[in-house]
Amino acid sequence: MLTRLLTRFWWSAVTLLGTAFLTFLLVNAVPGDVARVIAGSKASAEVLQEIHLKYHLDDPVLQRLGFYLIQLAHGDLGHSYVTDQSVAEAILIRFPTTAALTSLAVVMWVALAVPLGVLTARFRSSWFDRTTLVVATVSLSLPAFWLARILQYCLAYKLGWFPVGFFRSFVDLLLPAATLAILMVGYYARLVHTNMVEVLDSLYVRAARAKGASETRVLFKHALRNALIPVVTMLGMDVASLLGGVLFIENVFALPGIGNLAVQSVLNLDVPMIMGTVLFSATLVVGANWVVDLLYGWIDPRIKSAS
Amino acid sequence: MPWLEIRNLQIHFGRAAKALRAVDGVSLSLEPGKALCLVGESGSGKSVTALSIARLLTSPPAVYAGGEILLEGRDVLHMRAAELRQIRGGLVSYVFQEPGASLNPVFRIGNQIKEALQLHRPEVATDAEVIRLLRLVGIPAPEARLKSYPHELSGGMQQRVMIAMALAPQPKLLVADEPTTALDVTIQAQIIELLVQLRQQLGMAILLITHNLGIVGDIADDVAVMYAGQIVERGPAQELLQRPLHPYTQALMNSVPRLDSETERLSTISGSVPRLGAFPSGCRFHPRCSIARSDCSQAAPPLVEMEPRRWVRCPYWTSPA
Amino acid sequence: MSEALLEVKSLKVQFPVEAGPLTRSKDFVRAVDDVSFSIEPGETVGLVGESGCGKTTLGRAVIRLVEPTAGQVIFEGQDLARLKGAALRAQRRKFQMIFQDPYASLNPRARVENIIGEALDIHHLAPNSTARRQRVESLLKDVGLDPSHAHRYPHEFSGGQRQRIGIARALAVEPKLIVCDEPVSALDVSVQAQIVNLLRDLQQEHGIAYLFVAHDLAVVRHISRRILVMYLGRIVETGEARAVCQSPRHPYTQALISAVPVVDPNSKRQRIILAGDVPSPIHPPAGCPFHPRCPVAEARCKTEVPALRETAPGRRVACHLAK
Repeated sequence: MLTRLLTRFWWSAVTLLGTAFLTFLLVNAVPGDVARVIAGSKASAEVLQEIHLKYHLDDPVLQRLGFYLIQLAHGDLGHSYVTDQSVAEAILIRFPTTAALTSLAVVMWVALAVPLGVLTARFRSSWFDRTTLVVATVSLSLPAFWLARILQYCLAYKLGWFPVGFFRSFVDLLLPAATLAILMVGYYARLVHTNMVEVLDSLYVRAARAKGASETRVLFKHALRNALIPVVTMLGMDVASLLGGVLFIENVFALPGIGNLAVQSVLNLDVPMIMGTVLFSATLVVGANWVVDLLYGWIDPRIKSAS
Repeated sequence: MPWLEIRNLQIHFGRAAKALRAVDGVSLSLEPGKALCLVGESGSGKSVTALSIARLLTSPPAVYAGGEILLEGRDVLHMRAAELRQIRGGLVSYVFQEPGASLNPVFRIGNQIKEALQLHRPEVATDAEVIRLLRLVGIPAPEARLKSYPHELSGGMQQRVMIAMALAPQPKLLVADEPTTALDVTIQAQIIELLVQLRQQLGMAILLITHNLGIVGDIADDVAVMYAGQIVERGPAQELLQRPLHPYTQALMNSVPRLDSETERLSTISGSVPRLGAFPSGCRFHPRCSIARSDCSQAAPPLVEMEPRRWVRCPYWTSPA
Repeated sequence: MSEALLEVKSLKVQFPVEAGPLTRSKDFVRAVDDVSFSIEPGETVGLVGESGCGKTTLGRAVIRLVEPTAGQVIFEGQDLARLKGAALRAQRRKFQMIFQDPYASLNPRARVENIIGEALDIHHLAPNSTARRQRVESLLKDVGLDPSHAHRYPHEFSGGQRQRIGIARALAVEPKLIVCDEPVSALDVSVQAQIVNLLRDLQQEHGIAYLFVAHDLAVVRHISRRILVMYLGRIVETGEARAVCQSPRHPYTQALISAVPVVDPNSKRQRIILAGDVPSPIHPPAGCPFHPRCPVAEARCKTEVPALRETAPGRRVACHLAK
């Protein structure tokens, strides 16, 4: 068990290091001069030169990467070129918004997708199943940006049920979270459906019926847990990538989340901030992998003993 | 009236003109504590018949198109869902062919057996009772096994767990659908021996479904042989095994490999079981029958009591040499 | 005695018990433990035992689907255990395998003509498409299938017919040895008999040798000239098929024989019902590996490993008590 944990740890470190390496090289391959962003387009050559010297912008890329990694090893994500704010602080300030938005959305879409998936599997090929399939397909092919704009226009601007683009309290997250949930629920409803259909045909479900278990018990006790095994993997990955920033939604609803921070830092060519947000999000994905693995062992006993 | 009586059962897959007649006019009866073997090849309709006793076929596609299944005089085919749940497990329990796939992989076996108790005998849904049941079916160190998951057990042990689960509600009929087919011969012998003992001990009736006539003699009081959705021969086990009358039964018996036979070639039944929906006209066995005559392809023979308690669906039956 | 087609000498196959990538495993599953036997051209050798006895692994090791840990597998004078790359691929044509589950071993999305034809393509046995089609059709005819069904998919056939397709695929490359791994265990008895007879006919026609692996002695007896009985990775009894079945010397063989289902209701033979399952091959019992389940075990069986010794010409038994 310990060796397994160590191996996982080792691979996680390799993944993160690789991410840092690639991101750093890519960011530096982008044409443009951060000094101009910082100092403005009218800045003199001397000022630009000064900024270049201050941030070592003229050193070879690999040398700068080396410095960055050493700094990182000391637990320091550095400071923004543009605002001079600590990168760690900037992320931590914005994370609660993204986290709240994501969790609210996850609760919404899971609460909707699981019953939908189970019932459509139980009443396969009924009008209910067919209608759900159409709606689900529409939901997962909606462009995020467009949906967010439309909902904002109709529900917030026209009807005035929600604030148009401010963030004051948790309630203000309802519309953005619902938008996100609408985008995800279709896919998850189908995922649960497909897995349930397979499980409902299994011999142990027949055996459960043969025991005299009620239909509700068969569906939610015997079948659902087995059908959720692949769903959990997907969910772990999706949640992790959303926590790393929900770009479109945050942008449209003007939420001060990680997504907005990341977009702004890219536009600014703010290397420390870009690195910070990317590594943060990569850490979340790696972490989610761990959590999914642990959940797996709990949901599916066959995996625990195979290790 | 017999305890279980199936009368002229018709089971179709699909509807109307395209319906495939999987079971076509099967009649059977079973008295309390007796053992009946239903024998036939894949596609003969034997498992479909067995599953229909507790209405376990998924419907659709299965359609109970006719006949009656009377359990203690009540017709299963017209029961409400709640009544049916009492029957399932409570009166009629099942053991299936693939124990590994019939146990839920994510629950401990102790809990799976306990669930059967909770559903039918909630007053004794305890670890102690589960342990008693596991011991009854010959699982060593049952206390330690309560917390095992199905995949941690061998195929033979899994089948014992299935049997313990089936016995938990104290059913009056145990339906064993090819319970040993997926197992080694040694384990097969263990399981059959266990069923024989349990029947003596608990006095329940057994309906054993198998394709192998070789395991019938050890357990059955009566045998019914099915072919293409119909019963072709029925009779007391000893008599039927000693003197099979229908040419299909004779052929099926001869195809069981024997350790003591001197002939090198195994005797076979030519051709293969007709596909569902493509049953031949007249006697359904005639294209593969060694004694078929020209009129066998025309008239469908009825199941007739040719000798006392010996029912045969063949007008030209002969005693084996 | 004629030249052996296949000679297996002291073959061992061990699998490490799963451990971390940084630690070396100390435990091994001894799936095949010091097994020797030979097969002559055109001969059938039956290999019998319960699940987990190592018979499937042995069958696979013989044709290098599993890497042997030690020992030799001499096929037509060449040690397969040491062949590599192109030399091994060239030999592969000469031995084939038929699997237990005809459903799982055929690609469900390939037509029968391509399932069989692929083997011809790999070994360049059909110069053009006409020759390929003709060969596929004649193979289908050989195994008793309708050649006009060549364009169908596996799911359109019954279990027995699918096993025939598997046999046709094996035959396509004109092998000298076919390892049959439980080829009839998943089939109805009536279909079992057809397949066993088909294998016999093909053997007589083409002179193929079989290693026939199964758990049912009655089936094995009907096709084999000689039988190997395996328990926990070791051969415990071997001899002429008829002799082994009529007078088994090892208590395990006796138990296997008594477990065979019989139709005759008058046979009041004494059933020896073995208790429990095959023990774990990771920590096999000390002494004779069969002693915990053996009805006649004595004190020394718990400590001394019995050697496989000759008790009669052509007959070898690994039991202290066998005469």
